[in-house]
Amino acid sequence: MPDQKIDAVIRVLDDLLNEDDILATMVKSRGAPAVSPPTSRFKIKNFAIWQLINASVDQSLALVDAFSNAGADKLYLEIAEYEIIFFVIDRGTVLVAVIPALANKGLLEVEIENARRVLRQLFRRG
Amino acid sequence: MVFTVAVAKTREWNGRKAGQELGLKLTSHLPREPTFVIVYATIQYEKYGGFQEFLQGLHEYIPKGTPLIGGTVAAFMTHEGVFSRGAAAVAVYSNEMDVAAGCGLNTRRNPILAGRECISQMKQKISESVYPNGFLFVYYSSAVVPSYPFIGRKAVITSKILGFLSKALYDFSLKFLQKGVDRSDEFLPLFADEFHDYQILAGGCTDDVKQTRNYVFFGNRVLENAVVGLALKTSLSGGVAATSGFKPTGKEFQLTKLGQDRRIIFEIGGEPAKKAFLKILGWPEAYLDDRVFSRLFWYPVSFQSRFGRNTMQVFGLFVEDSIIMPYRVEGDKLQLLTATGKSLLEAASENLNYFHDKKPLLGIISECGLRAITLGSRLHDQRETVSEIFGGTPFVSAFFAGEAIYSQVDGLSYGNDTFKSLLFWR
Repeated sequence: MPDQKIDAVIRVLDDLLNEDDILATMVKSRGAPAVSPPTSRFKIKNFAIWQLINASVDQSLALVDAFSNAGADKLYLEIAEYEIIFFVIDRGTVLVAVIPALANKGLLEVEIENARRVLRQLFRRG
Repeated sequence: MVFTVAVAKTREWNGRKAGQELGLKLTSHLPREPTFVIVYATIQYEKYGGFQEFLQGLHEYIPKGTPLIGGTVAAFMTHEGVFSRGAAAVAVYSNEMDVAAGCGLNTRRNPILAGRECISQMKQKISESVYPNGFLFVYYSSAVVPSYPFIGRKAVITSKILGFLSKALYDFSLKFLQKGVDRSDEFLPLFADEFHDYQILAGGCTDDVKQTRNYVFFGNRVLENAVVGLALKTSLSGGVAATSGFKPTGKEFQLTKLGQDRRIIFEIGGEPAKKAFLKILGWPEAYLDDRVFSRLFWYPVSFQSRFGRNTMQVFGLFVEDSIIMPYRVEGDKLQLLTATGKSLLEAASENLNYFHDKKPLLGIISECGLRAITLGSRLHDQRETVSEIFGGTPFVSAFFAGEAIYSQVDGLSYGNDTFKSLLFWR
């Protein structure tokens, strides 16, 4: 991914992190390193969970790929006190957001969807 | 007749800058100073500069003295998208329109006095208008879940001692601390009576529907426990409509013991209210946890109100064996309703289709914040539908905690879980 595009993706994710209940976020494309703002911006307390997500995010891409012809749009995973939401950007890319399990998910999803729309445009531009 | 509308939104995080951006966008789209402005902002600005700064920024462009009302909302929607963070405003310039704004304070302590104060300020200014058609926008402080010592802020209190304490403190909290239900069911009828030949659209200002705080805007003032109104007289026509997407399930709650103010349900069918509620819905007690609101949204109840329409409300707080409702219950029966995600989305098109033979100039919508919470990212689908129906016509929808409409033909309708609109046309 060109540096300019990485910067643009980070700006979108950084803006999302301003939301109180977005604890951590990244964009992951198949075969490419994950893109995320500096972890110092994250609010996730259990960092081991984040490392686990980081290590296994490629498996979410495999799931997205498997269900992409059926219109895969989002994946949800609840772990301990966190909920991990995978918003599909395209067949090979997901936007990952970690929120508290008891967060006001609907309102957060409105904003995650806004971020996804901007990211989709960025990825379509190539 | 000139009727020019500007709808603008901002995504600025900083309150001052957000106000400035909105003010600049609004004024640059109007030929002259606005006749009135309605502003909606999400609660985040409380942390990023504050709402006073936000209004200050707005007033760098909007002349002081311009009738301006609004408040905090859970989300908002325009042709540009749907957002749960930011601010939006609608400004109108018209050379044939009379406008009056009013404000009443201490809505929880004395809702009647607050309503009368707000009404009288508007009536004084607008009663001599020569224009035939009246419209009124009302925004007010919605319910705030009280926080008690040793209990905190909870939707479900199971302990007998704490439950007893919180019920005992209910009245004290409402009247002295001004926390609790919003009492809009007491002051909204006054607006309908006094402006009986107007069409009214109202909304209860909220935060992110956690119901911990909210703010109402009046000119450059940021208020709590308040009701604000904006009355218009014009030669334009218009109409209001309410839909929800909910349908009766056929199940009923027979209320056998209510509190004095008819907001606390002690018994249903002779049984403790909570136990009977769980039995009728077929829920395990474990469902009454911190996520109870996301489940309760799907099961509001309604009763035929004395104002002619059904009043729909969600269950409020579960305290010991009792249930506290947001609005006073009329009669002794509550109908249980439910919806599907599809029917919720269809509520928007069903509502706007009431006006299919009109050519609207502007649409202003009050929707329940719980719709935003429930639909989540699917709210973008609703936005696309609504945008398509409006075509080139500007509109703004804001998500509240409590919505109301009134028309002389259909009467007053207030409650939760609804999609309510007011449209203007020539």
